[in-house]
Amino acid sequence: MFDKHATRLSLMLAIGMIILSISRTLEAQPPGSFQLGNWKQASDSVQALFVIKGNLTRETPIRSAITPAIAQESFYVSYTLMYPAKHIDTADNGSGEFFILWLDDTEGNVSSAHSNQNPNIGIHVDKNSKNRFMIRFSSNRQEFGPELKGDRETQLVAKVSKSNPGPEQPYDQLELWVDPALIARDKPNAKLKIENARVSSIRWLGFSTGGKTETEDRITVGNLKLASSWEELFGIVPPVTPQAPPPLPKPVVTVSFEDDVVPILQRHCFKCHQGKNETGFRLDVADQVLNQTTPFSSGTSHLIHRIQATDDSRMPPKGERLSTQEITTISTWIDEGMRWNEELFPTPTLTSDHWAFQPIQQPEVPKQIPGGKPVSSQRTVVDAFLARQQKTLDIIPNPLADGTTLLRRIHLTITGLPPTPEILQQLHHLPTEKHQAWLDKEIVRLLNSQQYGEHWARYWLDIARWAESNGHQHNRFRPDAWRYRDYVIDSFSSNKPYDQFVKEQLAGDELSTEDEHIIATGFLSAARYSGNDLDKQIQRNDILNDVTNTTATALLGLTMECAQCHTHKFDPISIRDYYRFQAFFAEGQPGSVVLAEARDQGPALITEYWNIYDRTHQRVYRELKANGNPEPIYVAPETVSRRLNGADKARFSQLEKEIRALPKTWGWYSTQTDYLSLPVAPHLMRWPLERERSALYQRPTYLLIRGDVKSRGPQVSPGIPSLFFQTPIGQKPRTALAEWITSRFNPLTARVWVNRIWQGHFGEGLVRSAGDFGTQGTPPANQDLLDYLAYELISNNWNTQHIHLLILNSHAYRQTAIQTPSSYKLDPDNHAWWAWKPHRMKSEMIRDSILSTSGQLDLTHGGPSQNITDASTRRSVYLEHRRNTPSYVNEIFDVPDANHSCVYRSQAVSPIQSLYLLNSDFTNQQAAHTARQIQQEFADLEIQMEVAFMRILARRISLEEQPVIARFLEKATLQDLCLVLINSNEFIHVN
Amino acid sequence: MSTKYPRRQFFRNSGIGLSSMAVASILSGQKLATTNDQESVARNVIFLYMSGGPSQVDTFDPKPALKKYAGQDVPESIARNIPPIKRSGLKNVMPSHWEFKQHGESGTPVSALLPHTARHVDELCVIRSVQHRNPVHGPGECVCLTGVSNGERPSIGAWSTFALGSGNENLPSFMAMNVHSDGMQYPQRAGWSTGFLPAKFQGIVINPKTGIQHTQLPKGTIKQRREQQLQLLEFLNEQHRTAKLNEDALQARIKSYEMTGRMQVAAPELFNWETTESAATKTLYGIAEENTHDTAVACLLGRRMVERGVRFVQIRVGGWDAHGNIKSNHTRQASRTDKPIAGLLTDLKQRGLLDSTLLVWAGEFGRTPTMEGKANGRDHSPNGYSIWLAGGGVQGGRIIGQTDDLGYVVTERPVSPFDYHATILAALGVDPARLSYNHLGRDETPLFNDGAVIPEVFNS
Repeated sequence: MFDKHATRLSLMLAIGMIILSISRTLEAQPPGSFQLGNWKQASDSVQALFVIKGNLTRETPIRSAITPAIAQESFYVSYTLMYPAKHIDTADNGSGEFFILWLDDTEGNVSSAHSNQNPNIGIHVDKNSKNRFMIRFSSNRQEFGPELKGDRETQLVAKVSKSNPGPEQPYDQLELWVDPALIARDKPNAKLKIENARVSSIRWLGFSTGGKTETEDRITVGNLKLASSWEELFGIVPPVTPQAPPPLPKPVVTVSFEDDVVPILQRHCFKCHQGKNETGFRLDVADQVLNQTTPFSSGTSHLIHRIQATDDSRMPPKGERLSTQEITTISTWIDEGMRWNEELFPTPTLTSDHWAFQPIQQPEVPKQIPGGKPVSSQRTVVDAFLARQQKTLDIIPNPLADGTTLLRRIHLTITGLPPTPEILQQLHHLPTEKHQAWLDKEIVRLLNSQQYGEHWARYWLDIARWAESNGHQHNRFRPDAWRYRDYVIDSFSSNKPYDQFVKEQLAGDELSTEDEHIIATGFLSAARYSGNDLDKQIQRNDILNDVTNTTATALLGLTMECAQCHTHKFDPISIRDYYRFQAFFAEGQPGSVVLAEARDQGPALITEYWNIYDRTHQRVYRELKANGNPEPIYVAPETVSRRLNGADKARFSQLEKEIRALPKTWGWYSTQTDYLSLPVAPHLMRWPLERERSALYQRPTYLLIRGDVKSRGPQVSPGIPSLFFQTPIGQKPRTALAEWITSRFNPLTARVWVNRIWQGHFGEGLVRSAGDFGTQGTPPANQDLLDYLAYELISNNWNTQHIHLLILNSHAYRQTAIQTPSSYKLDPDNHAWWAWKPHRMKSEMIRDSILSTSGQLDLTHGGPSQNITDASTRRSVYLEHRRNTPSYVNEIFDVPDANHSCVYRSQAVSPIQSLYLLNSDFTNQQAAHTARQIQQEFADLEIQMEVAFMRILARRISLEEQPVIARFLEKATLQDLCLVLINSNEFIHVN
Repeated sequence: MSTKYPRRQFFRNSGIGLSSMAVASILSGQKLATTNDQESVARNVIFLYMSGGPSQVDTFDPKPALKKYAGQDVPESIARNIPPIKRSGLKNVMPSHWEFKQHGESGTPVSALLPHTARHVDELCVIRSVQHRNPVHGPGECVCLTGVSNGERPSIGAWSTFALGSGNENLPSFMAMNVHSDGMQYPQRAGWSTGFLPAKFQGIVINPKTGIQHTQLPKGTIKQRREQQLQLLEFLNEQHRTAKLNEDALQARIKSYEMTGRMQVAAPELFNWETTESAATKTLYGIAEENTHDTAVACLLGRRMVERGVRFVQIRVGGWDAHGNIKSNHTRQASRTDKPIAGLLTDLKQRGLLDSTLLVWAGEFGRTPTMEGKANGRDHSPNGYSIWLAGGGVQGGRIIGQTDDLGYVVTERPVSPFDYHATILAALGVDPARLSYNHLGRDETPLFNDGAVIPEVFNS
């Protein structure tokens, strides 16, 4: 910088020209009306530097009028200054450098001081004789910023403001920034306020030197800017006025609901359709009428079809038909917007006696089981509840399984990996009677391992329908989405309280802009959307539906999506409830959010990027238009980047590179934050989401008739479904929602979560329909047990590990899988949990376990995802997880498509899976690895057999098996044995 | 509802009925469509999905008025019926580059773009009035194959295999082949997914060149060794299974290993067309020509699959997205598909398989009658477009539905994707209204809310 300036400076001196241009962006200023006044040799050149030399006296070599004057409440002024280092004198006798930009309402002359209670921004010496940047109103009212450094261009920014707004009020406040980063808006280097300010409008400004400014001093100033806002100074377009969607048509109302419509309804319809009635349909409830009509469109309203019908679908079915006049009245009422009188016909509050919607009460723990049970069958309170249930069925639970079986079971259900032979040895060194107690400790160790977090995170990622691509046909990669995956892993590993976990995911950005909180919003932003949709309303609506449905299913176990189109047929959720729930999310959207460490440099890069982008976009658009292309003209981002002109092209790709390198996360941003507190980087696709935050401001949510984004019903605001207890919403809607969901009074949240914990271990939940706690779900066979666990979760500060321990230490979890004939006869579906039911491992567990037994598993934690086509041996949770293109093993072993929340994976069995396990390169290579390692370590064939069983099946070879395996190995290899073992049901199942 | 379309009597046709009963016994919560006296017709489906959206006014829906309005705006009388969908351009009407001629005895018009298909018009039932609301490829593909834009419902292939079960236990019953997936038209997984139906009805994506994965023994493993492996596996599994809860699932896995052996024989046999098909057959599909080769192989495999009892074959040919220069785009696409598809029709017919095989040809939407920008192409338009059905009891030589003078919006007999899905099932002898699966308390049917069989497809 210095060299360049020096060259230019000498050039200017040589030709005796002093040029300064000023850019001004004050509000309400018609372009071009600002005049440069009497700058010497003023020019319209874009040259922005000006050199001033001293004269050992106080003087104003340069000044300019400002037309029209500035009198607004506040404005910013900025200029750059470079002082030659060799001319900065070590001050003595209180004498030091002095140089200012002054703002005043009078011009003065060359020798005027301009320091009579008017703003000065520049440099002066402080009382410690240091030359520093400063702001002042007069010589005794000044504040200092950092020390002046020579030979470098420094940007000074000042905010000049009035503490009392009004054109006649004086400017009495100054704030100073020296070389500010964009993010420093709220952190000035100095602040100053005075009592007796004088200047209420700025008509002139100028630069003044002081008595200490020597004749050889060359002070370079320039880049003078005036701006209404901080954003303007940095060339960022500030949020503009909210742009609401076009208002609903306001037709002339010719039909009165009360006087014209209600009498017709009373005459023909209310006999059957008023109040609670047998038909199940009410015409006196607005939400139900909405199910049958489309406001503003009688032609598509079912109600009209029915009253017009001539076949047996006509309404009313018997008696007098509606007259043509009456039908016209009803049609007109609909076409005029279907006005409703809520006072006359209020919406009834929905109620339900469904078990899952009732408050969670602490059930009394059965103290004694009538008839008595063997003590051994009760290890935790869980068993007491089950014993009561089993007693009523006259069932005796299976005995405890042996330590070896349980060791593998706990390792698999806690960490998703089988135990190593070393751990198995530890167990085997203990006497059998100590096994259960040893397992108690092993469970605690495993629950505190990273591998636990990695395994349980996978369940949560299914629930959150998380993926690393947009979905739909372009399916763009989301390179920063992996951070949310790591957030989930770390949350489980650190046993984050469940309520906090939920709050961070729903409202992290409202809690704080700390990375952990922002990354957590990846739950919301995991929504799928089409990057190829020109219709921004549809594109947005798809996201909002996705977020609404996922939140309801994932956290509340509700299938709200039905109410998207019509009031829920089974559950007490109305279409209005649905859209009120959706309104919680209406002011936000997914995006590539810049993380804390890059928030100072991020915004400037991103702004410059968009500036280049926008002007190119404009140019291409104008060219197309000039070429006669008809509107609408769409210019896709890829066209823009192809059409960049020479200089922009290089800079743009440099910016792309730098922005790509910024630490970011795929998160959620909303009107709760701005571009400085939470900058958002470009995520380009064919037709991206609307970029400006302003597009999100105050975007109203409408009830959408039949879920059609083009058929708007009444406007709604955020609210809890009316069935449940209500909560004030306030300024941070998602925080309010999160507080309600994690309230100890919420009847669903804790029940749903403990049920999923149970399911994670047993393969099935206490409520079998883990995604539906509504009236169509399967009621729990043992609600007391479910409620006990839910109550325990809440009263232990939502401690997930506490629930794990209650379950894992129970007899129920530790019993054998034997199909005891007497119990099977009484309860074949194991509703009373009298036996362990072996279940197939998930896709990821199968792959990870195979890698683990071959010793190839790489247990590195976290970081960007590994390409699925590479031969990565990381845990499966770290492999790329794109929508539409799963890995082959995930495709065939029922990994969900991440298009909607999946709380339970189906477990299909197909020959395609078996072909993979028998014939794929992967399984054969891993079998070879395992065999080679065993052979290298042990020469004896019998030991090799034994070790193969230990490594793969985590048990000793049995006496019956020994001769069979020995015979097998006479003809086949150890690798063949390993392959057979990883194909076995025993290996593929959690036994 | 009319019952004149063919229905299968499930329990009379022994082979198919049995497998359906097997399906019924495995699943809970489902009701299967039941009986009718009429003879069943189709047993298999080949769905020719033309990805990208072929233009109706350049293929099966001739519109002479396009010439009259060339370069002009869409007249208000038509424009006012166009739903408010982005991309529905109203400027610069563009005539077709291809002349239409009537063909066959039926006189069904087909453009000069598809001369080979044109020779089979007497087999085709053209529906010119399909419409929906989604003008975007990905969601549109989901609408085409699952009925809904988010793709969360079962694909029509999944419904079909769910209804009929397997026709050959040694091969997967639903196979999908994706050819020419170039540009950005990536196949949508929803197109062969099962939605809420059990995962076993999912389609398997097959690379026509390599066949079903992992049907070859690993290098170095001889057949005898594999037998030893399977014997040991059987011993271990038997030991493990004994007296365990969840025996059914364990047993099913044991059985799946028995099937691997048979599939390892059946699959290579299926994909070995090169040495088993005659030169004449290969010529018929256009195997030897560079343009047609990929689609030809897929179509030939399609025939071999249905011949062997594969229920549902989906062939997805990408590349129809003619935003710019529709002339070169559609010419290329026609050269890729016309001859192989006509070859498939001929081949099925001469082997007597056309009656038992339903063919469906459809894109995810059609294209605007107007030019998009100035690029001589057409934009997406789901407002009214053409598909055809053939074989499997379909009344050939028929045209159903109508669009306006420019071919923009349906004016008569609107047909939704749910309607043609219902019709596919009807052709298979399944009453779609009675084919249901209980999901979250609702008996879900392939009709969703208001789909209905199109009886005119079948009535004579």
